[in-house]
Amino acid sequence: MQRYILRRLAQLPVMLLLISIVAFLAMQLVPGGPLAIYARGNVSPEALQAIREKLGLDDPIHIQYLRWLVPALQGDLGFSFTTNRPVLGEVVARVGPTFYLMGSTFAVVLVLSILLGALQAVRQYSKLDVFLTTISFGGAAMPVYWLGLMLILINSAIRNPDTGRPFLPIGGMATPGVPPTLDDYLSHLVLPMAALGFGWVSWYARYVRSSMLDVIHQDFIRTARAKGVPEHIVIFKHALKNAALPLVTVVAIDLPYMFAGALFTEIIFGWPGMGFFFYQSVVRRDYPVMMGVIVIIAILVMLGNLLADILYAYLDPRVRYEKRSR
Amino acid sequence: MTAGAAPGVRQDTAVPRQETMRGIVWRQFRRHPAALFALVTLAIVAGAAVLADVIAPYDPNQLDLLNRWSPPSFEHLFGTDKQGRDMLSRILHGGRISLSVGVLAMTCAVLVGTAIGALAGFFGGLVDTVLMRLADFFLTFPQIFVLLFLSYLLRQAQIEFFQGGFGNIVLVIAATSWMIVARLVRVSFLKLREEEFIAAARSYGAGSRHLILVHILPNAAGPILVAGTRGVADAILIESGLSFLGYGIQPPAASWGNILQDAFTTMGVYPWLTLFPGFMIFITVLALNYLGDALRDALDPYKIESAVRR
Repeated sequence: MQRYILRRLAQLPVMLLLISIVAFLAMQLVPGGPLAIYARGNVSPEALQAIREKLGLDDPIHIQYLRWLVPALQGDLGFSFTTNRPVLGEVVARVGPTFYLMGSTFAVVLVLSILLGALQAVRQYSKLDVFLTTISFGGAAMPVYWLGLMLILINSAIRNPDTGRPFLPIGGMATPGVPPTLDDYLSHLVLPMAALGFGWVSWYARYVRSSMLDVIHQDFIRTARAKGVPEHIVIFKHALKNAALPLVTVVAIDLPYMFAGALFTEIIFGWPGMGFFFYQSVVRRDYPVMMGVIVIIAILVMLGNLLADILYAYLDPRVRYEKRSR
Repeated sequence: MTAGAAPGVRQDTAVPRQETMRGIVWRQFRRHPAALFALVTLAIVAGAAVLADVIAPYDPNQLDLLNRWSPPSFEHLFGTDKQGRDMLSRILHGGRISLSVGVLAMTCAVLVGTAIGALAGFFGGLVDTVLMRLADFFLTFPQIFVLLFLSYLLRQAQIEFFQGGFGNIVLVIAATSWMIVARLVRVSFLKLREEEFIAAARSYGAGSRHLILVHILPNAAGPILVAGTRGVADAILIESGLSFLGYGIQPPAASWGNILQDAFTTMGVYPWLTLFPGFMIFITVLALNYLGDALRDALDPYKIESAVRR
């Protein structure tokens, strides 16, 4: 196991290097290169040339790449074209909000989907099962961005009779200029979480349902029942544990998709996370920031996958990543 | 079932019915509770897209500045947008673009994925390792970030295939969506290439190309079809999403995504404009998902086998 983890950790820098080379080359091959942002204003050719020289854009491309890479290894990803602040600090400041949104949504999604999926499996073909299956198909087909808009519409239609305002705020992570309270944070979280999480609950509840149905018909469940183990313990302890386990791998595979959903959610709800930040940098043609976000996300996704592999091996003792010595 | 059959004798037990493969698949397909819904919905949506020129009541780009933001009425069933353009007409024409982007992008992705998966699975070894690492990479990196980055680069380079970014978006979606098909095809190839009929074909002197195209690929058609159907749904979602972010189909050309984006900017005042484009995306993706599900059940070899045995 340790050797497996070490090998995976060793692969990480190689992948990162490749990603950064591809992104860097792509950026340089584009006409105008990194200076494209200046090309739309009326900057004189002499000034442009001065900037080119200052940034060393006339040097050979591998020299330029090294000039990006060497400081990058020390945590210096350059400066944002638009804010002039260090990229790393700017990106890291956005990692927190994204993790907060994705992490809390994820926790709720897991609990809900395991409960709903198990319920559906236990009551297979009941009216409740059919109803939830129908809903979950709908949820899986619902675009995050449209669901977000619909939630905003519904929210704005339901007014608090005391204040005449909607119950929930729809922008940002907290009310600005007010000392942070738990209440404020939670009320800002509800709608983005619902928009981001609905589709995932739909997918995973279906997954848990079918995996639970597989497990329920296995011999060890019959044995447990035959031994006289109470039904609720059979379901929750014996069956559910085994049915929910494969979810870890599924979740790890889906992690990148969740980033995508988070990007739309963040844009619609003005959430100050990485997706929103990346989108802004694309709109503003802020190329050091784009590079920075891509590198940071690559690191996060790879670490997430590694974590899932380790967790899975820990949870399921049958999983071994190394060749067994005979 | 001849007219002269004796009453009370069930003809189908006397003479075993010869059911074709297609017949079995169709019967399995219909058994899925939502298969009919999916087919009818898709027929309507696709029909409306194909006939957009005929059935759209107005020109989708015709401005009517005196009638901006008019709510749904008999004159404008879905209302009008910020430039007085008829929403129904725009949604019909947008559907044409969204659907064709979805189908085209997925066709390209399936072709690329099949080629890569076939090469990896058939030849194995180093080819397999390199191609599958590439697929892993694309699978682990969040697609939307790559898409935005690629769209940005294409726009920056002022490369445009066809009008309104249509070709660009097909290209970037195909470039980032081939991995699932590639994996499926690879697994089929790994399984099938050890089969005896392949060894037999090889012993007759069949070359790699012949083995891949004639003997192995047709056997992998089922999973490819299912993944492709789901893929069209995904591609429509991606196209709409990118257009919603302003990096997909460029106005004035309409797509469901950029109509929704337009509506998003004025949502506080004219909320109904967000309803229809989003609903069209939703219902189309839903129908395609159901279709994929029904196809998967219908093409499941175990179910087909039990249907034959019965």
